Amino acid sequence: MENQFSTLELTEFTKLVGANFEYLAGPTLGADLVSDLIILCTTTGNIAIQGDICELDFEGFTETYSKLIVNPKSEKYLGEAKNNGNLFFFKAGEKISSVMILRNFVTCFENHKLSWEYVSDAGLILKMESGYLAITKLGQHDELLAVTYLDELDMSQLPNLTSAFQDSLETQIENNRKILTLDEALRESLN
Amino acid sequence: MGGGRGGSLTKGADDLREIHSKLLKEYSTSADGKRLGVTGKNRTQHIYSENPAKEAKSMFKKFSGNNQVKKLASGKGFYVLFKGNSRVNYRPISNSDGSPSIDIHFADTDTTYKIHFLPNKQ
Repeated sequence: MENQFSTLELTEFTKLVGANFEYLAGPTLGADLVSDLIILCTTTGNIAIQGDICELDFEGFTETYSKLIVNPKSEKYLGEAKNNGNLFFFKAGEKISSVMILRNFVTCFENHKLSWEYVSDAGLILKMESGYLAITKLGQHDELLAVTYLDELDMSQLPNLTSAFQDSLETQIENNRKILTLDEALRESLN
Repeated sequence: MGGGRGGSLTKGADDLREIHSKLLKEYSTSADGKRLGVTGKNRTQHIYSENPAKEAKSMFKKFSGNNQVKKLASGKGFYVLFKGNSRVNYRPISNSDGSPSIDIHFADTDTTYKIHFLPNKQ
């Protein structure tokens, strides 16, 4: 089962490359930098990353799973963020040199045989002049996203995902994640 | 100097574990006593009452206490953030079966569970 950014959304992210980062905003984004909707404001435009949920059935029953989307109403939400004073300027002015996608893999083995695999996009990472800015999911089953600033691209510094997946006597769950360049993610989305 | 917890810029004001532990004494729980609600199918916990909507809202209020409740941009509910990015989500109408639900996310153990609020069994 796959739950990833669409080709259209990935294409939107290409506009970020070469832009200068201006600020982060969100109608409910506070100093903890956690919210379900975070707007990236840059010199080439604004992109609203939203955590949403969807229903999927790959475990043998229907369950709620988190989903990342690009919300087209960034200007509306930016207005609300400005009204609420929720703007954050750390690293303002830095050039965005590349964009990466954090992809999460959950694999379930039943009696040592592959039962299912769930592949989902868990975040967006921007490489800037003095480090990295990551907007990543906090969970496999809810909408919340967190902003993390990194000096080095170290996945262990990104938040772990909360989840309801559990090992049992017969099943083993494996969690893995990797970082894809935007080109790699785009190529995979076209396959 | 003044007491209290005011002025904290740490994530969320309260510890979700503490509040959860208190609520375990007020509600029905799983057999091991670690989860709110009786264990149902497909990893969900169930809390039965005469008025599920009221019961769910009441539990969410107990979780939120003095912490800030925020509305989800999707319009699908509300959340409260606690220390360390633990959180509780409340959906008056859940996506799955339409019953009210509360999701509890413990960031310290990377675990999640969901409670559905259902009418008393006849």
